[in-house]
Amino acid sequence: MTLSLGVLVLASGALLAGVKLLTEKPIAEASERARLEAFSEVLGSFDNNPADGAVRLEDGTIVYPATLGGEPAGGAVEITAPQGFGGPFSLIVGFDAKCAVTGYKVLSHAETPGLGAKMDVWFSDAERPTRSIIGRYPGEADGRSGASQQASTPKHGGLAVSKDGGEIDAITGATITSRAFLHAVNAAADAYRKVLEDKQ
Amino acid sequence: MLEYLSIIFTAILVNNIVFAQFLGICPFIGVSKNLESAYGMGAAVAFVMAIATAVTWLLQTYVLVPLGVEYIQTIAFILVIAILVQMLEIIMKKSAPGLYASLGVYLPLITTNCAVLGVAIMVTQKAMSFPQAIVYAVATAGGFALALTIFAGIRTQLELTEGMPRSMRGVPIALIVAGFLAMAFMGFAGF
Amino acid sequence: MKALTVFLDGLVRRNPTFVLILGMCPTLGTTSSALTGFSMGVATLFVLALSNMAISSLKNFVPEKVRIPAFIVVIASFVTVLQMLMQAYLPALYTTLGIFIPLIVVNCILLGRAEAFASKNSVGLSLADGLGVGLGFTLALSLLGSVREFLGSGSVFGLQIYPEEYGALLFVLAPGAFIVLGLLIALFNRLIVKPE
Repeated sequence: MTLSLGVLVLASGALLAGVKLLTEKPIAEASERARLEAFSEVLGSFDNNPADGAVRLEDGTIVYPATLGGEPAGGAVEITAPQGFGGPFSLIVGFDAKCAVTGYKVLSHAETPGLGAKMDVWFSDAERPTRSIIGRYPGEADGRSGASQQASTPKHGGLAVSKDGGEIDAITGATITSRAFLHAVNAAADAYRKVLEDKQ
Repeated sequence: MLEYLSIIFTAILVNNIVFAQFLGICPFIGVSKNLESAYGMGAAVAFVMAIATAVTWLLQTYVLVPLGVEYIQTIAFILVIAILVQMLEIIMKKSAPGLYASLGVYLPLITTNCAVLGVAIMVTQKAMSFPQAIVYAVATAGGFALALTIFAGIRTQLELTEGMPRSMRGVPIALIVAGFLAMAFMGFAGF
Repeated sequence: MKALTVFLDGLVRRNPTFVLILGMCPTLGTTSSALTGFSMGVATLFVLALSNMAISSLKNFVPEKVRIPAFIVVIASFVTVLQMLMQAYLPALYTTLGIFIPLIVVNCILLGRAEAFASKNSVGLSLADGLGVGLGFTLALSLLGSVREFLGSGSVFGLQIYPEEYGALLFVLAPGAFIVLGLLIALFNRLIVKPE
C-alpha cells in the first residue's frame, strides 16, 4: 500500500523534474522577452540592453538606463504601487533624458476589471490630453519638476488627479487606483532622477 | 496593530473569499441549506485553514525555497492539506469526540475546498510574514463563515417560497441571491 | 461507438457546470471575458484528459485504500506540468488566470471523474470521458464568459458589438458572475433537463 503510493510519488517527482528541466530555459527566456518588449514599448529609441545597467534601489524599485550610440537616452523604471484598490500592482514607466514620460506598461495588477483595470490604456490616451501622462514631467515638487503644475501643490508631488487639485482625469469610478498609479509614476520619476544624479 | 486590523477587515468584508475572490463556492452552495450545517462547516474550515496555512508557510519557507524546488508547491501543498485533514479527523475522533460529532462530517469535504489551498498559495504569493499569514487565514475563514451563515439564513426562507418556476428552484435561484449578496459586499469596498 | 456515447454524455447530459454544478470557483472567477473563460476550460480539459488516462491505466496498481491520495498525486502532477508549460509558452495567459491554475488540483470535476469513471473503465473510454466532460466545461465557461462580456463590455471574444460605454459593468464584476450563471443553469434546466 505504502509502496505503491511511494512508487507513484517517485514517478511523479521524476516527471516534474523532467518537465522542469525542459521548461527552465523557455521560462527564463519568456520573462526576459517580456521585459525587453516592455522596454521597447515604454522607451523611445535605444540600442543597448537596459537590463545590463540595472540599478536596484532600497525599496525594490529598479531603474534601467537606456543609451543610444553610447549617449544616455532616458530610462525605464520598474516600480510597485503598494496601495492599489485590489492590492499592490507593478508597472514599468519610461522616461526620456529630460525626465518626461515616454510610456508605461502595467506588469501585474489585481484591480477591478472594467474599472481600475482600465489603467493599462487610460493614462496614455493621445486623443484625450487631460488623461494622458505622456510627455509630462512627474516627480515630487523639487523645483525642476511639474512643468505643467498648478499653484496648489498636490500631496503626492507632480502628477495628481483633478479631484486632488492635479491635472489628470481619474479613471471613472476608480479614484483609488488612479491615485496609486500617479503616485507610483511620481515615485518612479524621483527614482530615475536619483539614479541619474548618482551617476554624474 | 493597524496593519493587522486592516488585514482582518479586508479579508472578512472587502475581499470576501466567496463574494470577491470566488473561492470555496462548492461548499458555499452545497452546505448552506440550513443554519446548523453552515455553522459547522464554517468552524471546520476556520480550524483547517489556520493550521494548513501555518504548516504550508513553514514548508514553503524552510523546505521548498531553500531546496530551490518552489515549482512543486502545488503538489506539496495539496498533499500536506490532505494528510493534515486526515490526521485532524483521527485526533479529533480520539481526543475530542464532542467536537468531532459536530465538525467531523465536514472534514473530508475540506480537502477539496479550494479556499484552503487558495489561501495557502496566496499567502506565499503576497510574501506575508508568519503572524500575518495566520491572521489572514483566520480572518479569511471568518469571512467564509460569515458568507455561509448569511446565505444559509436566506436559503431557509427561500425554500418556503411558493410559486417559483420549477427550473429556477434550488441552485439557480441560490446563485442569483448570492449575486445580490456579492453586490452588498461590494459596498464595503466603496469607490 | 461506446466512446462517442460517453463523450456526448459528458458534454450535455452530465455537463459539469450546468447539470452537476461542479467546479464553480473557476467557473465564476475566470469568466469576466469569453477568452479567459475559454482558456480556463482548455487548461482544465488538458489536465482532465491526461489524469483520466493515467488513473485508468493505474487502476490495478493502486490499492483501494489509498486511491484518493494517489488520484490527488496524479492530478497535482499534471497541474504542475501545465503550470510550467504555461509559464514557458503562455506567460501572459498564466498571469491572467493566476491562482485558478494551481487550483485545478482541487476542482471537484477532476477528482469526481477519477473516482466515478476513470478508476472503473478502460483507458480509451476514460480519455473519451475526460474529453467530453472537459469540452462540456470549456463550452460552459465560454458561454458564461461571452454573455458576461457582451452585457458588461459590449464585446464577445474581444470583438466589439456595441460601444463599451453602454455596457452594464455589473456583469463583469462579481455579482454578475453569480447572476448570469444562475440564469444560465435555469435556462439549461428548462431546455435540456426537462423537468419531470
